[in-house]
Amino acid sequence: MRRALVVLLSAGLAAPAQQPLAPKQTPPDPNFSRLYPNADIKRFLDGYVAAHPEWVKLESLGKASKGEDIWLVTVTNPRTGADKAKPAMLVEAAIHANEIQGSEICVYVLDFVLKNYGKLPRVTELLDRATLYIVPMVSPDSRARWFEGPSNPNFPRTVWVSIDDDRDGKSDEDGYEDLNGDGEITQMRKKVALGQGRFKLDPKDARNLLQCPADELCDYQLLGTEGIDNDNDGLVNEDPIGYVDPNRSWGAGFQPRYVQQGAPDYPLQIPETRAIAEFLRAHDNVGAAQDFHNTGGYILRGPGAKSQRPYPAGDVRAMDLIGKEGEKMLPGYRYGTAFGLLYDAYASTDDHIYLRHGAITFTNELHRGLQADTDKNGQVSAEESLKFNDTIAVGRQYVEWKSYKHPQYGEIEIGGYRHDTGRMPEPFDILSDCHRNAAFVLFHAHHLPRLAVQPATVSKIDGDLYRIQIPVVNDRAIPSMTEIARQNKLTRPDIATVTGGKVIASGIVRDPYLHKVDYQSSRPDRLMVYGVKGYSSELLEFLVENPSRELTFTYDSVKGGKVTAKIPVR
Amino acid sequence: MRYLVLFAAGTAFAQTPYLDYAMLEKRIAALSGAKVVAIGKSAGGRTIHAVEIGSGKQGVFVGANIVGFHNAGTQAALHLIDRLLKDPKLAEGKTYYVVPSLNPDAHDGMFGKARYRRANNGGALDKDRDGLVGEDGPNDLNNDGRITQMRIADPAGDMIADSVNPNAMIKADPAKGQKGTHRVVQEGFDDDKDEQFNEDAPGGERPDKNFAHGWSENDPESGAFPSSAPEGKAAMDYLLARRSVAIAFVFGPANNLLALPRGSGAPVGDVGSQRVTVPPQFAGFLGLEANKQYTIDEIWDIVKDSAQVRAQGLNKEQLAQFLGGGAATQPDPDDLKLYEKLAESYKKSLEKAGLDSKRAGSQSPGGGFQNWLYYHYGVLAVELDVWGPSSAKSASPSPGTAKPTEAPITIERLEKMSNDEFLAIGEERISAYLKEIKAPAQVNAKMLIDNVKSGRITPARMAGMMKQMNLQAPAAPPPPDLPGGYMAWVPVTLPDGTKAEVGGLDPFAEIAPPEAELTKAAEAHLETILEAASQLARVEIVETKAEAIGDGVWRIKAKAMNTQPMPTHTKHGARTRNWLPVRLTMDLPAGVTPLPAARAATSERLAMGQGALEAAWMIRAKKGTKIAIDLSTSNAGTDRKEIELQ
Repeated sequence: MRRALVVLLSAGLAAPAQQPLAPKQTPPDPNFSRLYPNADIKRFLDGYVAAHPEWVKLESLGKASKGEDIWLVTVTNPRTGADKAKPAMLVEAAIHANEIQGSEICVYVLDFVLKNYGKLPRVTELLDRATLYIVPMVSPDSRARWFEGPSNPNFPRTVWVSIDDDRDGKSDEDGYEDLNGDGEITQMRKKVALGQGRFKLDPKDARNLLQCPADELCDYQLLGTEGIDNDNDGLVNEDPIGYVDPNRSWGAGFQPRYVQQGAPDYPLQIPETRAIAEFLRAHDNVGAAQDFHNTGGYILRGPGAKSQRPYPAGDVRAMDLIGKEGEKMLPGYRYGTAFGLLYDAYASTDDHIYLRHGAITFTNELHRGLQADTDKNGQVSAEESLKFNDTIAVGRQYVEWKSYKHPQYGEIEIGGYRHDTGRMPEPFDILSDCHRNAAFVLFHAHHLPRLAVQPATVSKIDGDLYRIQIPVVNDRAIPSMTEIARQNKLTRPDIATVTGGKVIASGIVRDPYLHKVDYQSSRPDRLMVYGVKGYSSELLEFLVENPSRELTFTYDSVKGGKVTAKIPVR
Repeated sequence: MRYLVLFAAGTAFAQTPYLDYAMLEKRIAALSGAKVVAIGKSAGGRTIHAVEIGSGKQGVFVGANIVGFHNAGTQAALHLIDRLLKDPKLAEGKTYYVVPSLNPDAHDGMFGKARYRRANNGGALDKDRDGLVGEDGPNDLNNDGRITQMRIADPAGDMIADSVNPNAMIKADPAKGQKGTHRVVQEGFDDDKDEQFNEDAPGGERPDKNFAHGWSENDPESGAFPSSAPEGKAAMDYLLARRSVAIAFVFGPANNLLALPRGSGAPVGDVGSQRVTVPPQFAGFLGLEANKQYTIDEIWDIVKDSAQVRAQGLNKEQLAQFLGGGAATQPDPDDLKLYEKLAESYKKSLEKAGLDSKRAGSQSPGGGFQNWLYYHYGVLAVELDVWGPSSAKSASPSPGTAKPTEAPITIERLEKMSNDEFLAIGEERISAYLKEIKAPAQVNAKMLIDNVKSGRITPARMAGMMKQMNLQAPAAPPPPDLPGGYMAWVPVTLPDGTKAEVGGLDPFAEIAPPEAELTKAAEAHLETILEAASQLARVEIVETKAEAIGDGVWRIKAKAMNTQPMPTHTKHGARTRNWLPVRLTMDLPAGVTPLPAARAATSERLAMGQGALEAAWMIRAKKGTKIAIDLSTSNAGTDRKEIELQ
């Protein structure tokens, strides 16, 4: 028995291209302390393509409900292999159109990797061996309309489709209105005779309403969001445009609308998420995914609902390793299951990408939102929030109450928080959340499986028959095939082959010292391996008859890429 | 119903009532009096056609053969189309939406060189997840134009030959002292040598397993994700754009009227009896204990009169949804009564046609079309298999009905045949073959058999001699008319040397009846559909009243009822909230003021004998004014009554 020299042919290591990139033209330089409408985001993407046409590809995955393109950016080092031949991570944002700032993080990730390739070894390694797929605006129609306004922090949230919410045979006939024409949809309140109200003015700050105490008569009514009863049915704003929630529209865990509000008529009925589902179907190499939402500061993983089956333990280990590190990288963020930390949500992104594609997936709820929590009790009171507006934001966030003559309610007041508040940091704080979350994406992508072949052991059994034992190691957290991929039969297993001799038998070595081997009962020339776990290795054995002087070993993993090694025999 | 179909690569013509997809498309294109709509394309790029007949406000949907091998369903759908076009009175008040073949790529499994039950669409799919795509499909080992069964002697097998019909294999019953002698698989090689037979046939996902209700997440054939198959998506998009549909029929292998739908999983029951835990953040607000279990009914009683619930118009279903109530997995008991009623008249139609009404029906599968129609679309949905072997026959198949068909002897077969296989053909058939090819008199069957037995000649050598003598069979005999029955077992040797036998049941024997039976069955199903359509809900304004209560103020009352046996919506359909409620509104001329705002009166569902929808409004108007009351539904018609205020 002797140790054989192994020559690694892994593409990522063979073709060094480690100089910083020389852009063909000046790349964009976005200001990451602000939010950008769709056209600006698109302009940046075009700019990165123009600067690095070989490294950055931009394509449309299809049209959203009202015709905006769903843009996909692909970025990888083209000299170390095609995008589909490498382990890959998908990053997406603004699936909820009002949850805006994830798009900026997507641009930030792209900007950061392109400007730091060849400077920071982690970034260099990532683009050499892996691919980033980035969809900055999953629901572009509604995101565009949130900027155009009138909008509010929660509207538009869903895709821009007509649904008869109040089931009266007409769609979208009673939505919100910007009654006073200030470009914002805020709140309505009305002063009434003492005893007829359920609220009263806060004596310390008249902008704030207090619940009427049990032993008082009060004189204010809260009338809800700005608008009128357009269809005279006694309800105000009960049928605005929208309500198919793309993040309840996926395939895995789908539940009909009577169980899951916002569900479409069937899974992936809407073009926005279907485009991404079809993209994933055609890109088996995606082994990690990140979705950006707001708000509250969470790193969420599935399951989305408590009635769903728990995820297999091996995969949860990989999620925990990345998610718990994320808690340290993102101050105040909490990591855990979506249903545990928030509420039940069926057919969400996390569940679909993990359960249907076997990729380790997180949803980050951006913006912890505690800047105004001056008493550090973990909550922002109405008073603290107004104080923050007055002092730090210098009054930018709040539209003061002004009187208005409402066609139905008569004399009322309209006022409240602007649409770009509450769910996102003030501009001066956007950059920090942006960078930290982008760093979390890079950390996650760093843990895409990285496979290497270690030196093989070659021993002659008898005559022309040789035993070759080859260790394959994964030195990152994500397995080269997740347990769910095996359970749900999502992809083929990894396949190991040896050429240069007749393979009589092959198997996986369970104990090299006692020589316990699970031989595959058929097709020894295609050894099926259900992945190499994170920070782990598998020892593969081949019995080869009449080998040539040098054998070629190939380990071909759906999500871990392909590695090849030459094994000298004689 | 008889058409000529080309079989077996041009070697023969056989007569069959069944249409392949190209001929079906020609038939549809030639229809006159019907509107034909292209509703989508299959994975293989074939167009899926819907045929629309009638112009009524109530829709009846019939979707056939989404499974792919239920060609009998396609024929029954065509029969329905033909009859409705011939006699337009049958469709009065209705619009029929008929899709004769929802899985065009699989449809032609019946018409290939070797017919088999194909269910996969024309996509590409690595079904056994071994990295090779479509590499191990069935093979017609005995060249008889069909994929039947293959048995391999195996002391560990669990199958034995039926003592009554030796061409049928049945499960050995240890309780009766029976011990298995064979294992039985579909006819074919293990092409990819993975020790499994025919586990990765060509084709993509199965549209009949791809719908969201009951979808299987660990079966590659059920699709990449629910609703991924273009065939099912086309059908759903088509239906969702036609909300007048009041009942849906699926022609497929299951039969919901011979075996009432059972659903799957634990009964969820009525939404009100579901037990839920109230999360702490809501418990305090509702005055409940956190983490204690309550029924939805208990919580509903507490909150239903609260200002928030009333202001937002929340109902019990939404509350259940909010608190994490689950989806229905079984038909609602009220809806089951509708199936029972339909079953009664269905069985009568079968009996009238001389068909067996006592045979067993099978359940619609999870992920199937019928499940989506009932549970998600929310309509009364019935899957029917059109025809099945009669219960008497399937209990004890008699040898008399079995028509063994053996592969024709050809020179090509002889070349590959082993001695044993040749001897197994038997003297009688060899003799007939020699006669057919006009062999010289000195070459007789007995002589050949003796020579093979003694090893003086092999079948391959024999073939060579025949070729030299220019002896050829005129043409292969035509394959038997559809459907085949049981085939006699013919020995074959698999590439790895395994001895096996091919024979047993024709793939279409139990699902595609011969023409005479098919005609009867199609007629009985037409009758069932027309009968069900005649029972569908129809709403009417049955009473209006205008009462003067002083000073130009009138109290207006209206009452609407469903006058037909079927409800406007199934109980479950009402729960899905996918359908507009039955709705009474006033249509007021200018100058008439409602006091207060005239809100519509609605009812989720109107069922015969379960009350009426009543509306009461107040208006201020001059005497002699004419007002109108409108009644609207999505799928049970509309009505309008005028009242003069007197």
